Amino acid sequence: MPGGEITELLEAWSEGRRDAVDEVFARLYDELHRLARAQVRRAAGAVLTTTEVVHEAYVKLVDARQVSVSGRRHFFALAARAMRQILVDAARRAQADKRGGGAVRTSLDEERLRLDTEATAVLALDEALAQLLALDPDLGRLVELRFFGGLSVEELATTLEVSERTVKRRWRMARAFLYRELGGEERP
Amino acid sequence: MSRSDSERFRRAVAVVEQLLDLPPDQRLARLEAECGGDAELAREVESLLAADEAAGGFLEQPAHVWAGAVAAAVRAGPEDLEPGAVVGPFQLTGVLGRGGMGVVYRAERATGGFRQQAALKLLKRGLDTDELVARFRRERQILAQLRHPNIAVLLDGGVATDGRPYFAMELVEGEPITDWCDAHHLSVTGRVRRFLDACAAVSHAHANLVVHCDLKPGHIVVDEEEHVRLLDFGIAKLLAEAGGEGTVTRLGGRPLTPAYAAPEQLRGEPVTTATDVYALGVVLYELVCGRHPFVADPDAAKRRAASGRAPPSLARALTRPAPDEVEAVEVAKRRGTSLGHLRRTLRGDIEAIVQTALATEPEARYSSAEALAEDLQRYLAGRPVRARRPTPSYRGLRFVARHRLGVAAAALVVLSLLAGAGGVVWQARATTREARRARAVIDFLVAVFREAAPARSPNGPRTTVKELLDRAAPRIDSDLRNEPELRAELHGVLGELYEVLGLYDRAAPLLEKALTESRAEYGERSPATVQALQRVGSLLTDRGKYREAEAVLRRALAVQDATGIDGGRERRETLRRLALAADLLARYDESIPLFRKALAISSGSEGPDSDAALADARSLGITLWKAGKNDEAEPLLRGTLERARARHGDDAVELTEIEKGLALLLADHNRFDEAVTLLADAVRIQRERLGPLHPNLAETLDDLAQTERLRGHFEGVGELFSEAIAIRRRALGPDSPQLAFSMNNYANYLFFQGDFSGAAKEFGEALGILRRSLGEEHPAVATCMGNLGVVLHRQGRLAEAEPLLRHSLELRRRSQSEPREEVMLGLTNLGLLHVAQGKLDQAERELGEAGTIAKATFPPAHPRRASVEAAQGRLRLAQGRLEEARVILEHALETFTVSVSPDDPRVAEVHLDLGRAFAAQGRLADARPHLETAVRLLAGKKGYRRQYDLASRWLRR
Repeated sequence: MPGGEITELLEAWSEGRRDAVDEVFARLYDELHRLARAQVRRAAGAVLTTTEVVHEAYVKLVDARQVSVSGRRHFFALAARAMRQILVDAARRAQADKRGGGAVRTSLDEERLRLDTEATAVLALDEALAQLLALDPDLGRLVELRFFGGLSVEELATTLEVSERTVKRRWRMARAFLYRELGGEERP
Repeated sequence: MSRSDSERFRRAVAVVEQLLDLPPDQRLARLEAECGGDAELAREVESLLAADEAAGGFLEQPAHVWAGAVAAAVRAGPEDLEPGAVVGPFQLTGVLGRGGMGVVYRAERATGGFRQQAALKLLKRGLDTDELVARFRRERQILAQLRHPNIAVLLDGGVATDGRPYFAMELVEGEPITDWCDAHHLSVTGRVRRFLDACAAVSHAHANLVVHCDLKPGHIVVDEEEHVRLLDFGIAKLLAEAGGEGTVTRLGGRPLTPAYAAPEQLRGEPVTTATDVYALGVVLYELVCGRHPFVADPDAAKRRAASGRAPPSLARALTRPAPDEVEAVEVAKRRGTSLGHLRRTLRGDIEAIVQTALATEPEARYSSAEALAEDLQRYLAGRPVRARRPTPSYRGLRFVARHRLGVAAAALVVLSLLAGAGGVVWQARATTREARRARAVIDFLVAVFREAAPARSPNGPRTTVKELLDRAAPRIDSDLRNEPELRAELHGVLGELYEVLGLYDRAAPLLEKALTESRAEYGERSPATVQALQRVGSLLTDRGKYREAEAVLRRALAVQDATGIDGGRERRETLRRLALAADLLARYDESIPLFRKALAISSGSEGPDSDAALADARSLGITLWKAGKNDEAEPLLRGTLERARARHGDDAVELTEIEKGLALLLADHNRFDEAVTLLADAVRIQRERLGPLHPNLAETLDDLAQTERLRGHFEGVGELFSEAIAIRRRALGPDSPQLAFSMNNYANYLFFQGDFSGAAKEFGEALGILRRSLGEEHPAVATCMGNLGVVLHRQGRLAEAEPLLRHSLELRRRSQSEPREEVMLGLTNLGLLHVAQGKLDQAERELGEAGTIAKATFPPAHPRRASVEAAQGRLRLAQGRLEEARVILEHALETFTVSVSPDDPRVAEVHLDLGRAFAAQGRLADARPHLETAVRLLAGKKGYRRQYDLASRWLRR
């Protein structure tokens, strides 16, 4: 996939051409998924981290010299969203497999339990995030960018054009909400 | 999740952020200060604080997954699924094809003991997937119940385990209709027959309020049993409309197949049944002449959307040089005929049909797939097609409101009103937010209408469009309590629909609400408020409350100016309405520059020959004429007429309004012959194009009748009026103001014929209608009331006449400003009555004032001024001031002699009065000629028996 095309699409979106968005998202989803898969295969037994996947995609797809600040911002916003979707979709599949696979759990399989918990956790987090996005879209997007997109505090500050202090403070608020939603604290 | 929840949350977050900056011991105080007495807010703050403390390292690391089930799932899918995979209740058995949106599999499910074959579309993951699934769940019932022999059934749909949506349809193996017809060498006639099946399918779907919105040959296939089947009904619409939150997605945006998309679809506006009609038109075009109307590349389509160009004629498309397309000779061969013969066929009525279906404006197309099918059937039967006539505009058609239809048909009418009638619902919806709102409006209305339809009965209880709207109105307040934006929008839309249908009483409260709500939601300076102001202003104009209309419209204009909101179409609209209100208030020094500005905008943005510019030029011409600036008005109107002819031809409806305007001008200057010619032409065109029952035709007939009367040609005038009245009664209902206007004009005619009792009856009836429909304050009520008063006076019913004339005068005083011609008229009539009653002091005051106005308004030799003078003359006569009487009357007579027809009773009456004046002065020799003239003119004149006798008596002395 030529770097120029995605960059152009991102710029087009910046200029208000809305139909560019779906195209970018679709391609990003495919590419990120491909990269994620490759990473899992490579690091058998180790961890898949979204940060690396997203940054790898950026390097591959975007012409850093041509892209504008807002183009960059759009990239990461979409990539974060796509990454979230990839994980959520995978979690759903994992749950479905477990249920419909036909295998019967005959014993308390700790490994299985952990894996099960993991899928559930991803899905629960996704739902809480959806709630946050409805209440406060800015905070929600921050979570996506940081958690799924894997941007660091500095990168977030540059991309969103705010101070690092602001990023940290907002992140703290978002986390508090999510923690509470996921049952860490009594709801009002 | 409501807006207030969101606000509270954000507020809470802001408070927590503050608190975190403080040392713990100060927090409580600040918390209480910030939260005031809001307990819920305080609780939210506290719980967030607690969560923050407890969270620890939660989510500190970006997402990662251990090498486990999720990672495995990441690694595994979402691939293409293998045969044998299970999606919902279906098992995949093969791959049928791949599209931009995903893969289509062959699938089957075991149901009721046999294996049902399906085509299963599994969609790629996209941004809008969640929204799509939600919408599908809502629509599923309707879509699944769409049963028709020509529609491929939607079997099921849902979400696969990985969250991807799928749709399973009845498996149809077939060829696109275009290919199939080519392969079978079907003639044009044969193709049209096949096409009719497709129309039937679309029609059925529309009756169930399902729009396809992606019709194209690929979706219209012919199966192995040679049946036409339509695929993907409803799916495309769901896909097109699913929109994610925020600003990210197009909404009804990029159409799925630009080559078949209607102009409004290309612009991103919501789709309606008219959109499907357009697509059908494109398919028909291709079927018939083997070519696509526009070269099928996306850029051309976009250019077309912008320019609104009509497609080339079928014959021309066939013979255009086209290296990538099939040769013309081959095209003919595939239709089983020769090139020459095919060309001839293509020049026939089928051309008109296709052009109508492909009209740029939705309202100019066939109003439904059924209408298209009917015309095609006429074509096949060799009968004349309707296509050459544009479909009548629904604006102001009250019969539409009250006509009993099936629910679905009534709903379709409403939807086509939404799509077509200018200014309703949406114009250029530039932003996705607006498009989304517009779509939400339709969804709401459709939901209400669907509930009105009883389960599955094609001949269900009849309803009227009005009843459907009445159903929807209260639901807005009850169902949308928590959605103020949508509520405001719907109040505005529903109000405007009522207005279009002439139901002003119902429109008013809704539009007022829309305005209040828009202000509350968006503030004063917002496009929504401007639009709400415009609608209110427009309604006020319709109801004759010109002053109030003007105030409101000026406000809209001021906001537009202050904020720079939309310098184009919307502004022109406001300017036009404002100009109209000013014109009706006779404030021409305002209406003229306003129309000029509107014209500048429409010429500038759409071209000087565009329909909008022609309309503005016409309005400008008429207002100039009313202002007396005929030097400019006449050439302008003539020029506009020429332009319209050049653009639309000699038989086009667009000419009629201009012809009428010009005719008015000419008639006012006594150039009746040409005026009649123009009006007669307008009548001819309207009869042909709009049919014999159209209200616009009635209006022209009315104008023609009046002009003929003024010309002094009374033959046939009665019939013209009767026809106009009959049409208006039938088409607009017995309570329509327009009907009353015709009755009023007819009564005027009867009056001049001397049939006073007939006139009194008509005026009486007309007055009743006007009072009921327009209210007591409307200027038309004043006019009609005054007319009735005058007739009663003539009949000698002076006591009955007086209150009417008084009231009419008062109304006129209240509603008009400069120039005060109506007031002058009222004063004159009342004054004359008082002379007859012997109340000479009152008459003195009234006619004095009338005289002042007359002098200020008219030049000395103007017939209207002379009428006042004649009245004053009679007063002087009654007062015994004979010399003064004589002078005035002679002056009046001079004017009348040159400016009105000698048959005009006013002439005879002045002669009579003058004769009496002379006689009273003892100048019998001078009196004689006048009295003789009076007798001669009055002889046999119906209704003037009394005057005749009087004149004769005086003569004998």
